[in-house]
Amino acid sequence: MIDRVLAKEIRQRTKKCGYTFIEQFRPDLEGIHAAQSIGSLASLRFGENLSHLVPRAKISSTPNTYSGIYGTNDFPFHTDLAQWRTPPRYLLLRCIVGFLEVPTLLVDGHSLMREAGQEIITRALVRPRRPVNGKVPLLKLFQPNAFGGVLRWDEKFLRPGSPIGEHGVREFGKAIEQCVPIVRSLLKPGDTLIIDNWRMLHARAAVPADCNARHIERTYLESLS
Amino acid sequence: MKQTHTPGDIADNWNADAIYAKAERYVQKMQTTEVDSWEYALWSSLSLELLARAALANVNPVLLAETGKNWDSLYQSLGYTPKAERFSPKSISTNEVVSRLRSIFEGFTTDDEKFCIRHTGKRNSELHSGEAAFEGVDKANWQAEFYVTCSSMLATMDMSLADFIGAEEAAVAEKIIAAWTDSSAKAVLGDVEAYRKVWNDKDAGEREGLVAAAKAWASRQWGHRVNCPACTTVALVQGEAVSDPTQSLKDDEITETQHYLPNQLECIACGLKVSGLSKLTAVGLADRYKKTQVYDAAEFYAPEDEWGDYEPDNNER
Repeated sequence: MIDRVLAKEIRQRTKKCGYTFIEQFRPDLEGIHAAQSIGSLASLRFGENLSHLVPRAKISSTPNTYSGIYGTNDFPFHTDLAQWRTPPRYLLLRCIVGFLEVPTLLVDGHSLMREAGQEIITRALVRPRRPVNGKVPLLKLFQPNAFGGVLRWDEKFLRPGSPIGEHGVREFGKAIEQCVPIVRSLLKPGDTLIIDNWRMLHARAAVPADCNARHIERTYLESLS
Repeated sequence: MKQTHTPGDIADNWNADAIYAKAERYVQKMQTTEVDSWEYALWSSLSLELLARAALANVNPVLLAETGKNWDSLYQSLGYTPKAERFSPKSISTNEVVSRLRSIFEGFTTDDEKFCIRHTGKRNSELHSGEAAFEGVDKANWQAEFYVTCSSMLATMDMSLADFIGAEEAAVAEKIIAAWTDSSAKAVLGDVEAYRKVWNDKDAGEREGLVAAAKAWASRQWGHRVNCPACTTVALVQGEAVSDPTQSLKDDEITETQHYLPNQLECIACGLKVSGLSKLTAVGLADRYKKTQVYDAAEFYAPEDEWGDYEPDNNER
């Protein structure tokens, strides 16, 4: 566990800005232990919570992943697991090997909503591009809830699900095109980015050939300590 | 003690957010059709049913599950996976859904319930019979009530009409509701005036007889006594309970009180009948009333006696 002061700072900063960056946070710890010291791990329906994100060429990946779709090119802005009814609340990215040339980009989804039209985004329905557990759920781009709401966005994995959905997806896409992103580079071992996945969109810059050694650990948290 | 069999996510067929999203999808589809067309009315009825189900699931998904023949649907609505072969979830009927909403939420009135039953009934005729139930139906006959009922359902989820149909359309809906309320009030006031005229035309002897009969009738019936807005004779208002009963004990007597919201008036002297809270509002008889019943404490707490009509058991006789 981290000390109370740091825990409080992370909670407050993440609530205020939608993300928190901690430089060289406990590089001595295993990834999963580092994540557990910051919050409670989310229970996922499949696989391990900890994933190792390394650049992959399109050809060596599968089309159900961003690497299979975009390869080492830019990954577009998205929220993780947007096709789930309740995506994981927080996303934690932790640097093992980093490069200045491959920053993580962030944008505040709430600003994008205001830009695109709050009412439209709240009424916009979307659906996953393929069934989830054999069903095609209808989802809202912004689903209000007791914690403020869940904003979801994925231009590949989500499709419009209603007339307002078409409109909302179009307007939100336009707002993304016009946004000025926050740039955060995970450079040194332990550099950690905690992202509110119900609010912030994130993206990855293209990976130049000489940065192929980039290695980031990703974990999902359901709450912060 | 530790729970060893924990539930997972609630399946979409019981999930309030999922059901609401579908209601929203249908209402958006409705908004793409011509307002005077049968398709507009059909989509509105489909959306209405889902909105009702979302409102009930938002209280608890379990309330939607059909529990008649087996418990598999109930079990699934709790977040578990039934083991039954070829399991197909079953939910309660729309009529039952709106009946439960009326029982749970004070703001969801008998008028709302009746409209839901009527509108979804037409939907059934449209979908399951050769009847073109929505063809030629004037929107003036249902649109305002549709919006009023949607508002009542949305309020149970802390939402507004603007959240559901958009701010622009909600502003139009408010005007439609205001106009309908006004015309509805005028209609009922017209009825009251007509009954008053007929009453005043009766001779004094006949009126006296009817007043006496009405007093005797009212004293024998359950209901809240009021003065008839047409003839001023004692009339009865009936309603729906809108609060939990509260009991107090004094001198071996239990006094039970409960608040009711009126939904119909009947006067047997002049024959006036008014049905629905909105119409009772127009004649000034929509105030809540309190029903008080007094029981003997022993009677109130006594266990139910299957042979209560007989003397106590006595095998000596």
